[in-house]
Amino acid sequence: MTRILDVENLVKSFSLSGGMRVHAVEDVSFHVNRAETFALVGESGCGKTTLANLAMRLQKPDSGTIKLLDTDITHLGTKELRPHRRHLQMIFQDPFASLNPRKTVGKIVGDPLRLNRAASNSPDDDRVAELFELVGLSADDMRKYPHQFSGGQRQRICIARALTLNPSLIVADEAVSALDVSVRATVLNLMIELQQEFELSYLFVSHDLAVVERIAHRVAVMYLGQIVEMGPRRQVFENPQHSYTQRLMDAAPIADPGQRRERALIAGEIPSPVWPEDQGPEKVTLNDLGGGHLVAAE
Amino acid sequence: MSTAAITSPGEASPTPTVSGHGGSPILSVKNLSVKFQDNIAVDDVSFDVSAGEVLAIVGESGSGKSVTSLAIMRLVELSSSGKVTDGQMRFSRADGDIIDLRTASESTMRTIRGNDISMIFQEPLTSLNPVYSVGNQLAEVLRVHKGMSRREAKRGVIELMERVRIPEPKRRARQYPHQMSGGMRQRVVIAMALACQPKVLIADEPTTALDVTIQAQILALLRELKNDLDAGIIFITHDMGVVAEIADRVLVMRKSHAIETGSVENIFHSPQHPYTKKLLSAVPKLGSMNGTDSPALFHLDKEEV
Ligand SMILES: Nc1ncnc2c1ncn2[C@@H]1O[C@H](COP(=O)(O)OP(=O)(O)O)[C@@H](O)[C@H]1O
Ligand SMILES: Nc1ncnc2c1ncn2[C@@H]1O[C@H](COP(=O)(O)OP(=O)(O)O)[C@@H](O)[C@H]1O
Ligand SMILES: [Mg+2]
Ligand SMILES: [Mg+2]
Repeated sequence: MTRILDVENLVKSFSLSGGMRVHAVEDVSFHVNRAETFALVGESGCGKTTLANLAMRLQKPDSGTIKLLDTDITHLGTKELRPHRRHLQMIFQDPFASLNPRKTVGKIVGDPLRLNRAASNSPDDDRVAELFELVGLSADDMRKYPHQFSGGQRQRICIARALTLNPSLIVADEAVSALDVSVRATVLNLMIELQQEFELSYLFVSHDLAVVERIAHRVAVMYLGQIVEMGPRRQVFENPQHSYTQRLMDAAPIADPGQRRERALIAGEIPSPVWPEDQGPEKVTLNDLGGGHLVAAE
Repeated sequence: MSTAAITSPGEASPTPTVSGHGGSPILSVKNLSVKFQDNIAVDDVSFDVSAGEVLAIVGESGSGKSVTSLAIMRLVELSSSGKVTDGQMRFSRADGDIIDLRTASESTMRTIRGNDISMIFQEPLTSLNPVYSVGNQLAEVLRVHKGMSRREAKRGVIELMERVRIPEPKRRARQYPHQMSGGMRQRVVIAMALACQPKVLIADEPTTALDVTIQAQILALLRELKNDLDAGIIFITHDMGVVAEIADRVLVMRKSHAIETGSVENIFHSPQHPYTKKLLSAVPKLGSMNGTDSPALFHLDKEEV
């Protein structure tokens, strides 16, 4: 299997006032294969967004390496990074914030073509029209502005823009989280279909276990900046081994009143990844249970 | 658009009201309509709530869920440009009086809000005062609503906090809202609602901003309180998973209309209206992928409109 993205031992922390430090991502390694959806799940503040941003090279890691299609991109400068960027695209939670309100959506989707001349030997407009149809919009929509579309349509426009340069990997950070349920399902269907058609890979970041179960081939569960369990979706969901994964699974609502469960009433809180400057979390060791299913020792 | 019929097995009338639990309803909403200028936010919606039951109002954003709850509290006209244009909302007070919340005087409404009918919002800070400790705020509620003395209230605060399972209540009582996590704050707000012993508790997306493990705790708490409070709970959410966890009965809304109402089992296992079917076909059900390795498309029900 071809590895599209391979990150090793990534670390990122942020210094806070009062001699404290947030250990947002703490020695994390994972890879994403071709035509695979790799999901990062976990509760808020566990480091999903920071990790996705590091993988995208939107933030610089304190240490660790990021390999994209066998090239180490960890230390590449803006200019050296450019030819690699096209393989790596991103879609966000709020499709409106990432679309320039003063440009037509046709221009927005075509911009990467114009910026990346190497790819444009076919007329831009034809390619853009093709992309619009690919994501379920009409070529006539190209002349409209972002505000003329619904949230779900805007997310389709963002997907079209991400696809413009035939990327290998799309990083989707909570990209369907703000959508209404029926719209969310159609966008997820689109993502699955595009994956099959173009052998796309997704790094799919989400707090929603039911959605992740539906779309992921492999899953990593994050807790306090670390991966505590990782493996094929089927193994992790059907046979969760880490106590935190189990707690998460138990807590997730199941859309079937016949499966309602009794739950403990104790009040827990999500612990914080903030430590005094001279301290930090203990390193976890991941044990291999076979079949690529890794679990942190407890 | 014409008024959508509420489909409910065994009932033929276009807007039947399914009443819960056989008991007479505490709150009976009939043909409620709310307008903002030319925008009809709620159109001919009817439902009942009885003591000891959770009625979930579910629907996609903008379907009219929050406006429905604001109409019950008579806050539509008070706080915005909206107007209740039709319907009645018959509320049975503890003393047996039946009051139409649509026409009751503003002074009557002031005795009802926060007393007989309490509300919990998505953002607990909406209901908390940033400059008082949570203990002081709870004590204030106990003095006003229960006529407790200062000393009684102090003990009452700790009891309330224990009841909503806030750990270390003595220490927590001295904290200010911003010093607490979202989940802990929501517990404080629930404690405040409890102190008032309302007949109806309206919770508008109370767990939407919370993480899943915290959400599960709050849902478990509400389920427990439902029984000893003997209130009717109106639980508003867009999340079908949460509905399945908490509701006894469900009202499905779409574009300001009540589309379907029924027991939670009937809504999930034999939905009648095409829209409900479509909605459910788009909901991922945790565990439904067991035995498979690959992602699966949603088989979306097409809705004939
Ligand atoms: N720029 C920053 N400065 C300080 N702390 C940050 C910064 N970015 C993220 N954090 C902290 O790092 C942790 C992980 O955040 P994030 O990656 O956004 O988590 P998630 O996406 O899983 O909710 C959180 O505690 C967050 O507050
Ligand atoms: N204060 C307001 N002024 C004008 N329109 C409003 C106001 N509040 C709500 N609406 C409109 O009423 C409709 C229903 O809104 P709401 O009840 O908030 O939906 P939801 O089901 O998401 O809670 C929407 O079309 C919304 O735009
Ligand atoms: Mg995030
Ligand atoms: Mg609302």
